[in-house]
Amino acid sequence: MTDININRPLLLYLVSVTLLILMILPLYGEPYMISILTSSFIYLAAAEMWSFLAGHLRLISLGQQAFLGLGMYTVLLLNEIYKWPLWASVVFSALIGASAAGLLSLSFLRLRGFYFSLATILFSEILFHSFLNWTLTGGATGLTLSIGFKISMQISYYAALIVSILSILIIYYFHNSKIGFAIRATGCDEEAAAEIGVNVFLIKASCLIVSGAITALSGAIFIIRAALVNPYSGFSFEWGLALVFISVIGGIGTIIGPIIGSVIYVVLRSILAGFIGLSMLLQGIICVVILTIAPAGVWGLISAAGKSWGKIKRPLKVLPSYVVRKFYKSRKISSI
Amino acid sequence: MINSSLIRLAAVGELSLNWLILFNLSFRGLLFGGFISLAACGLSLAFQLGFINAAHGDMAVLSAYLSWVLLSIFGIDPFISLIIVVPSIVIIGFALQKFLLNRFLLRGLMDTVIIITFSIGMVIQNMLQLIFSADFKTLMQPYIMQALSIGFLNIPLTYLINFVFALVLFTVLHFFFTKTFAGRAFRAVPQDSEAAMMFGVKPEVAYIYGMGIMAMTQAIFGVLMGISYVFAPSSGSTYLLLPLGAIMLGGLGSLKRTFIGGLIIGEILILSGYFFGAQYQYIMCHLITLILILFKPEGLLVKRT
Repeated sequence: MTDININRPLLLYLVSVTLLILMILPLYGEPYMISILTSSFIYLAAAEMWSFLAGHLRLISLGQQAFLGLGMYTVLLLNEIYKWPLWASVVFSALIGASAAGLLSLSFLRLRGFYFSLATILFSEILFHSFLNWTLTGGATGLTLSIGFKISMQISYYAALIVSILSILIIYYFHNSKIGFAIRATGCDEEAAAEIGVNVFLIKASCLIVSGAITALSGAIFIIRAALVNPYSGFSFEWGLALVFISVIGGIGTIIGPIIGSVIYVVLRSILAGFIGLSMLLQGIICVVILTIAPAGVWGLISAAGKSWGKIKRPLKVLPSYVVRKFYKSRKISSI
Repeated sequence: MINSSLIRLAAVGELSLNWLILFNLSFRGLLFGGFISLAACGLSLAFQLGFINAAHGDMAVLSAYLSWVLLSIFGIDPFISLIIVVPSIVIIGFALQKFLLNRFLLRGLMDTVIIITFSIGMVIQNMLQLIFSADFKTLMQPYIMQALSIGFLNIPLTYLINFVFALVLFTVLHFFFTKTFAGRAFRAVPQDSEAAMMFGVKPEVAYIYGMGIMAMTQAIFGVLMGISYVFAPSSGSTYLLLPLGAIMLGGLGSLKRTFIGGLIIGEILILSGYFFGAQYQYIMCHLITLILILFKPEGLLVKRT
């Protein structure tokens, strides 16, 4: 079921080379490239989680901005007002995200299907209105993270890289382990999964909690870079749409899909940075078009192309030996 | 808010002023609830047809903007513009359902339908923002900004109009869905589409007409919303979530209960605005909806079987 069909040594080699390049890059790369990569890592970490929930558990969360915004505000509150050390507040934001997800996962006790999507939208709107009225966090004007201006670009790059690697590792574990089978069984048919002894509620809740934690972490890294948040930016539907777009364009439920998608998203955003709203308009249109024409996304297209190439390649490979054998046979026959 | 006769009564000491305000407000909340349930009508139908339309609120905002264009360019009165706005939104709904959503609904891909309607909502929202900017607009007309005084009750005219529209629409749709063959066919399709097909109901056609009815209610609601309040491209999510509260309170599967749920939501909105302040209205309402979704999803008005 894993979407990576290459053999394991080659995969390990590719991954380690990519990682090495990404580790060295900020020491030599130009600032624009580093900032593009940092934001794509942030989106990647959150989108991997969304993609996994949507692809394998059929939980379509339309309010992931709730977790992102919670992560941002946790770091701001703890670091700016309560003077916690920065990285402690980043780690704590993951806990906050996890507990918010735990609260939302109560909806799995009684419900399934689209109620979850509605509950996530509701949750993000409640948080939006609460932070709008909370004077401690500056209400509608928001807060500024003063330490954010001192943190160098490289450090936030490495932090984003670590979070996205963590996210990918967790998803990889979910794909290739015993839990992964339980998760996929739950996603396919809940009753059947419960029948063979899978604790459906626990599986769904734990996946949501992990995703909430990682999404809040990526929000926390985002605020270190952006240093400024208000309820309109933190709980904007732009986040939700971004995660949907990244996963849909790359391929829902795959590991590589969001990696492709987040790069496409960040590049698209930086190209259209001058036109407010145009980028979101295009994202929505592209989402609809991709879901209609190629629901498996770019990675789905690539792997389909790979498979059909395999189909073409096989006859090509066999052809010479077939000719040789035929020739040899005919010679043998003639010699007799 | 309070008219002269009311103050006189209070001054005489026959009634305490607080109670009068409260009574007035709760009556107003009831009427406002009609407005909310008008918004919930289309969403409730979508729930009955077995999917959700995440672009629900944005369709209403789109129709409000359409009416605003007609008003500002051709000078057409918002109420008369309903004749143009409703058919055009219905045609958009038909097209959306026929060429896009039906592909997924008939294959049972509800997840994709949610993602697609969410994306469509975002497309509508950002398109409106690009064309009309993010400013607030309104369709309010001078002749409608009046208040009626009946005894010591004081009602803004818009509240009454919204409520009457909601009542008429709900009555008509309720009878349509319970008494006519076509209406029963709509409800049969999501329950058992094969059995419905045996009775000569085509699921794809039922979905298309169902979407048409939803678009019609949304268009009417959108224009009324524009007449009574201000709107911006981003108001869509509010008009998705408040109606959702009405549906969760009333329980699924019945327009009548959705209407009552809408009345309760209206009461909650107005009274919490009075007691806690206007900024906590939406929080209260959304919080109650979320708690209902988490703990009593079958609705308050439904007995647990």
